[in-house]
Amino acid sequence: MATDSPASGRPKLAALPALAKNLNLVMGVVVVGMVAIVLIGNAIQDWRQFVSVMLTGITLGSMYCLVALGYTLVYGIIELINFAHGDVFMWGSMFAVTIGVSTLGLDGSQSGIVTALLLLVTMAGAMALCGTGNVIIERLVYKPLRSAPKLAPLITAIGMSFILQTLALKFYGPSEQTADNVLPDSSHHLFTIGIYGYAQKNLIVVLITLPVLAALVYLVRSTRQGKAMRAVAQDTDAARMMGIDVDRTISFTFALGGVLAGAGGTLWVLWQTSTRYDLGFQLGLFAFTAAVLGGIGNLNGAALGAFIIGLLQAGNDGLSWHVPGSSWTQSVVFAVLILILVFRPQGLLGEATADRA
Amino acid sequence: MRLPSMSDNLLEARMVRKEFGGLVACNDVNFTVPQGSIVSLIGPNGAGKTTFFNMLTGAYTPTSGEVIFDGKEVAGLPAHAITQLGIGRTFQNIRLFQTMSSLENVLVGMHSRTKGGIVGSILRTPAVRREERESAEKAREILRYCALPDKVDEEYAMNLSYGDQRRLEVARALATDPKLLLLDEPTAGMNPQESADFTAFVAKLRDDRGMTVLMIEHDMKVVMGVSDRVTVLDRGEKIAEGSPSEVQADERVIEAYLGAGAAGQAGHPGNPDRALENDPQIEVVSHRPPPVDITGSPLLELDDVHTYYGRIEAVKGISLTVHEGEIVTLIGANGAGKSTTLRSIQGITRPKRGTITFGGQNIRDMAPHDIVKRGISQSPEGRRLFPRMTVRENLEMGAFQRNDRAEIEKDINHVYELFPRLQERRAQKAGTLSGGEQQMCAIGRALMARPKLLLLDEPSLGLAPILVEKIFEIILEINKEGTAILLVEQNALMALGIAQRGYVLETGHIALSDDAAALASNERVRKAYLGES
Amino acid sequence: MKHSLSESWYRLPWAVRRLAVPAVVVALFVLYPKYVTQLPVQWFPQMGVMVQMCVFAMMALGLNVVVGYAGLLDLGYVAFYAAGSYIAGMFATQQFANTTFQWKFHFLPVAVPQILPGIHISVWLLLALGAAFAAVLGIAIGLPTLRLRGDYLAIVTLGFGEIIPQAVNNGDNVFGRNVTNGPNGLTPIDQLGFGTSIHNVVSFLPANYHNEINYLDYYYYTGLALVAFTLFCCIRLRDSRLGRAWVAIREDEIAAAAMGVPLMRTKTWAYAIGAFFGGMAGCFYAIEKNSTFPGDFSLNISIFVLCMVILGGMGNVWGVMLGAVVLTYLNYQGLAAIGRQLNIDISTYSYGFFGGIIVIMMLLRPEGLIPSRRRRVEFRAAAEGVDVGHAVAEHE
Repeated sequence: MATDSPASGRPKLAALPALAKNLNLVMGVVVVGMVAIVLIGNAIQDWRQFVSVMLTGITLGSMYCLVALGYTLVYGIIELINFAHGDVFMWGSMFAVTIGVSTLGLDGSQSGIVTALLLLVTMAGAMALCGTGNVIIERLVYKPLRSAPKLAPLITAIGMSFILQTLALKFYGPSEQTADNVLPDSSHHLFTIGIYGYAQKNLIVVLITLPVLAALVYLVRSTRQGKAMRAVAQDTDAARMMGIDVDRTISFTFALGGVLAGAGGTLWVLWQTSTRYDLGFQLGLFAFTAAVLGGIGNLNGAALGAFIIGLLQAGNDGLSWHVPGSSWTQSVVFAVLILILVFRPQGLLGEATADRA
Repeated sequence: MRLPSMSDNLLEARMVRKEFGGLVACNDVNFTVPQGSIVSLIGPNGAGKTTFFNMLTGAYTPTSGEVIFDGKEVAGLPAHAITQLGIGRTFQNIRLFQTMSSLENVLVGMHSRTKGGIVGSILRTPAVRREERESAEKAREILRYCALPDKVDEEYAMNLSYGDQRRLEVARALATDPKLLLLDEPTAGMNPQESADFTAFVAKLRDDRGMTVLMIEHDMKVVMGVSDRVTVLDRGEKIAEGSPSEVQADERVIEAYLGAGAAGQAGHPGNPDRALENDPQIEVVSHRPPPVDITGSPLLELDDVHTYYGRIEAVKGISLTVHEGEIVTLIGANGAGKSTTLRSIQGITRPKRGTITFGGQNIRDMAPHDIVKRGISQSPEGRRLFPRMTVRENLEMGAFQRNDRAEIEKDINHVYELFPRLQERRAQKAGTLSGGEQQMCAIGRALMARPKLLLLDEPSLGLAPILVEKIFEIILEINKEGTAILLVEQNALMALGIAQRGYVLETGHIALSDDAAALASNERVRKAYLGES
Repeated sequence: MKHSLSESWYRLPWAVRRLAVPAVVVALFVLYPKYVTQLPVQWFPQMGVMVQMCVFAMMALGLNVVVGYAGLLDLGYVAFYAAGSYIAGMFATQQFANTTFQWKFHFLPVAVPQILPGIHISVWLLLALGAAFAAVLGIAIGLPTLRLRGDYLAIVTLGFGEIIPQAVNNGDNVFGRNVTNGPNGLTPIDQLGFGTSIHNVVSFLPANYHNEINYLDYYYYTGLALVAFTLFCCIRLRDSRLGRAWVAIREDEIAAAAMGVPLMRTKTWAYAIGAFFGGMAGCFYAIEKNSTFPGDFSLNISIFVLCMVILGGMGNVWGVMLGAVVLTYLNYQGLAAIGRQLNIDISTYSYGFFGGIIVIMMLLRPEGLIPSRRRRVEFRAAAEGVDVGHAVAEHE
């Protein structure tokens, strides 16, 4: 190219895009290669540990999945990174404690069937409350800002996140809220691999997540409202021209996100047996990372990303051969986020966003 | 690399090609701009002019071919580097820095010609102070040169009048000290007097300053008045090049602009290659549906409708009517307010004043979904399909307001009958369809609402003539089934060929309204579209 | 009475009227240590809080360059603050006297005994070094990320804001070496001072701040000087060629690039300059409180500073400083004082309170308390439906 151009000083600029393209590929190969080496190394070193850690990762991933879908749905429709979503999730876990433990008295003393029924009620309650709450937030604070400069709603969402956290702090206090023994505790193994046991509750969480995800897929793919959501996400003006009530569709999306967060929050507190007012921010960011990793706005992508992040985190925390270890978990997850955004902003399954202009 | 200077061409594009996916937006175009001349690039909407422009300014990288400016390859350079080399530009949709004063806008234009760095700016060294002073003086000079009065210097760009904003864009581009000035539809939205003034100004730029100018322009009066050379693009290919009078006489150009039948009608011998295609076209013209009784109360009535984008008034008091069973066409140049009118009717862009009555009810303040429910649907400009939905899903979206499943199914089959191609493609994602198929799908989707009134915005945009004919035949058929149609078309004579009545829009006003047949033979319409004198 | 007062006010020369209010405000701030003891302790900020105000004013001004001028949302600004703090912490303590290093290096230290092990570089120099290091870090973070879209950039910066404190926290074991002393932090840090030789000549300049009874006053004055420096730089930059380029980019990147503004370079400068002042603030604060810990650098700090910028008025240096003063006061003293008065503990909920400020400001007065003229018209335009930053005339 124009390497000896008389415009000198910055002729190399011409070569930059080409370099950047190759750099993407090189970086991608290097990162994926490193992860693969660490994984394979661990698998060889101690395959039992490896399998057990990966199984935990799947449970963690299914949890992230529920939250990540909420981010991706909202982003897909109004291009807002809903920072407060993680806190809605946290509220889901709080509602679950209030309904399930404080009100219904779930503590593991009930029989299996009764527990299952009460759990169902708890989860439905948390989902309904979170869905409603999310819609109220949308109507009150995001809707008036729809035509404002782009960063305004984002900043508002950050403010909302702080408000939700503080409200939880006010109502539940700074201590952990617990839901002990509702699910069989970690010592109840379904099976063991060498010295590593697979807790029954790990499977229960995954089994509850699956139908929720299936219902979501059905809702988005096949129902009238779901189709309206997709239409608004793809072209808002055209959706208006088709007679779709855009405001209502956006509220519906927030409701759906809230419902998923409610389900996720319930499962989280049952699985981890405790929750706290500040659970949401960190976890929300991890889930958001998952959504970006998969390609934000893309449902399959969010699910894929969530499982990758879940496995990554479980691997980082649980494996022993040359992994950074749990004191670096945040850094590892955020490093993934940064690498993805820098080298493949459209995510793994996302399409490069065409300029609509 | 320093390329051998081939001639005194300031800009030379060789075999430039741009593909998007499988779509060829610019097909091996060769193109030159001689030093010190004014060259216009024209062609109907969707011809690839903007794509070509974007490759000159660094927004796109060509798929193949090269663009040589002043002896240097510029294709693929970032925009600011291209500006540094000496290409200044304006934008089709004014892109001033709204919250900066006029003076500041021009000063930003000087960015690459000035040096003031961080430390110098903080310390305000004598060199920086001198540079700032000189820049401001020069900026004022440029503003005056562009006929902007003193009082605009400190005014925010967003508070300027439309004409002043256009002039400020040129001033800002001149501040980059360009060797070549690119003007993207500089007179869009100007009234005839403003356009004439602007034309004179561009000529002055060339004559006083020896400026080389390349412009994309729709207003033929401007193009014919000032250009040394005109290049015509159509569907990504160069179809003609030459002096304004040569281009004006070229049948392919007339065809591209006025529709295939026009060349023959205008007394030019038909192009023998296209004779076969022309035939059904002329037939369509003769198949104009009989006039409808327009004495009763109209289906749709706009009365003094004003619509704004921010402070810019895009529709300035339009009144029009559409009666049941009628085809009415709305024609006019780019920026005249045609699409905005359609958007206003559907409530997508809400008018500030005026009334819109549909079926006896004022619908101006209704939500778009209520308006659709009452029976107005639209096939928008640029099709606007949902790209990641299948053809069938797109059609279903059109029926969003309806709940009669069986009837919807029937209507989908009816659309498939009208456009058998869509049935073949029903499971395909709409984003992967060809342009013609997308247009069919868009019209089909609008039909799915079972509208009483169908709004069609530029259905022929970017389509091959054979497809245009097909689309127009179907429009007639839809109308025969009892749907009133309001048709916005750039292919003016063709639209007038199937409509009963027409309105001509100029800069947000209705300039003419008459029977379609009368408009088609109206000298003023022909002039407006071809710049014939 | 009031009437005649206002009349006589308007009879004053224009220059006097224009300068009167700023002069009074400056005087009130400069003389604050002289009269603070006369004020009720409960309500008026104590000297420690005043020093914090200086620190946050510097940070808010720095962040304002990034967010207010260039329109880049940075949610990880705390990273630069951390970088500055740790420069002070590592190069003006006995940190490198630990078992894994055992280094000793003195460079023009102020009031540090010759025999003290570890690295001791002049703390004045460290203020500049901390700022410069933060700026370099800003460039390093900015180069790969600044081409991202606004909301993605926000997330990436947030990521860096989380990674850097964690790296510092885990830095006590970098391949077996203790670089940052991990969660135990670094303390004590050498104090500011002018050394005995200067002190002997100009007696009111203390040899070592910390040996003075009213040492906070000295830190306060130093802080004020640094704020003044920051303010001066910010104003000069705002009115410069670079300042105009930032506004242009904030409004319309495509048009700015077409006018010859190199996007990446111009944005990176904004980032670096913002980081510079963040680093300086961090360095100063670490020295003042004599220590630095990884726990000081939470996301909350980034948000807190962002709140100041938004509350005060993005892009306006005076508004931003007002935001810093008000929020710092509320956070470190005001809320607790109000809480005591009402007999409830509000300060626990301070972040909810700040969240509330953000949301309410965005809904009711998005341009901030003292908006820049530019922002005012921008938000007014948004309310009228003009999308500043995009094409205005998008018809047809």
